[in-house]
Amino acid sequence: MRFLYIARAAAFSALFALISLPRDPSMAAQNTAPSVKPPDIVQSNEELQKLYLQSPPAQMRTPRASDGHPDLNGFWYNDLGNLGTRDANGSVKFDLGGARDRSKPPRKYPEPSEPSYKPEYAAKIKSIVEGQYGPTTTDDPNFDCLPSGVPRASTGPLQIVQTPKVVVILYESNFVGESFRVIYTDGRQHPKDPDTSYLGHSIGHWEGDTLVVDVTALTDETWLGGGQGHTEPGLELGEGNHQIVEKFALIHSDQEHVTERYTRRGNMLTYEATVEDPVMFTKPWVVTPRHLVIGGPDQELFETFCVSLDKQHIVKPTRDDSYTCNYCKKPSN
Amino acid sequence: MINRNLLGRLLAVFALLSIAIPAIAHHSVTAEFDPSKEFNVTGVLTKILWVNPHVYWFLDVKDESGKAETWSFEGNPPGMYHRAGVRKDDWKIGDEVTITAVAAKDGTKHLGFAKMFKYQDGHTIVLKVGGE
Repeated sequence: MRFLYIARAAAFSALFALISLPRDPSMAAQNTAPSVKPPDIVQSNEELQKLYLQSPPAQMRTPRASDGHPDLNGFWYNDLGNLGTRDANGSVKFDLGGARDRSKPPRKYPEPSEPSYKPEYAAKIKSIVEGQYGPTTTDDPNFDCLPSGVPRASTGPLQIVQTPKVVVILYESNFVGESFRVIYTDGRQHPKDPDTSYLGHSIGHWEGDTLVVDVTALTDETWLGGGQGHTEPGLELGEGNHQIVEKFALIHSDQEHVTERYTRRGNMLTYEATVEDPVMFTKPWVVTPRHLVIGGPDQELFETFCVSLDKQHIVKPTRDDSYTCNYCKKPSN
Repeated sequence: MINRNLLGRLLAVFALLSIAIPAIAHHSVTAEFDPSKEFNVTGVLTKILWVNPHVYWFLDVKDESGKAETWSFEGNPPGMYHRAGVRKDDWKIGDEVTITAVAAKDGTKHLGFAKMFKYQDGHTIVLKVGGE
């Protein structure tokens, strides 16, 4: 009788264990999620980085390439939380941000770091900032469909193709046209006297599990950030992603030199960069790390070309018409 | 140096926005269009540019004399529609459609930011932005 009881208990335990096994990666992620809920207000970028390392995607297993390095291959992005629905009569509705739970107040995140400019560039920066209508200004080279440069391009969506000798990044872009970079990991050096280009010349090597990339020969025709910003993942499953606006990370010289660090942890890619500009900066700019999450099997890189039709109609702020919010109607006078 | 008052005001606005409407800033629609100036226009869809930074639809609209004029309408970036399941094929060249849009701030005629496409069979394509 006692044996039957134990056997029945063991059978139930085995059945429970079987149905409790994670059936898909998101469930596995839930099982490894931190038991403590992240705070509603993240006080600093250092705290934010620690929280990202504890987040569900980062807690998953990191796959390896055949050469033993972390496998960076895949489509990386952050869901923008937009919703598309359709009715039986063929009607379609797009709701910007509609996939997010608007009833919950969003978590508050810290501002990203900014470069420190020499005083002689203050007037130029002041002029740019005063001409911005909210996050928008036609001074931004993105409005001419020019590539975003480095590190601005590395905000996703993007696809990484990794081989032992090259790592290729295919940028989709949410604003300009598609572009690509080839990062040589075969031991070569930069060319001796390269022409500048929008995305520069890149050589990389592995330091432990991090791909370290040295980027030179960058044209001064791009910006470092600013304007429309980029999207970072939320810290919890189900939380909407959040927008980072690098509002003053703007101009640079053709002496810009960037050291990038790409680290895959589970299903999260951390992008770190240090930007040196001996002409314009008082010290190197350590970019606040960015994070991308790997796309599911249905997510693919999307064709994006760019045609500039907006620029000629963008207005600058005036006393009577200063920026209030992105889509809201202004109160009538 | 940067005007600290202006910087402070801008920071306050950005801080407020980062709380109020995360994940939707792209470029300010209000930097180009006036949301209080809404209008409707009916015509034939002649062309779609499914491109960054914004999708454009072109409409031939007949004026009072019967002469066709081309109107253009801006939308969001194609990637945003694509990942939400809204397809370029949801629009057909040659369709007659009534577009509800908001007008350009700089006074440009025949230009708008598209909010709704209404077809003769009753179906609609609504492009809702900013928690309206």
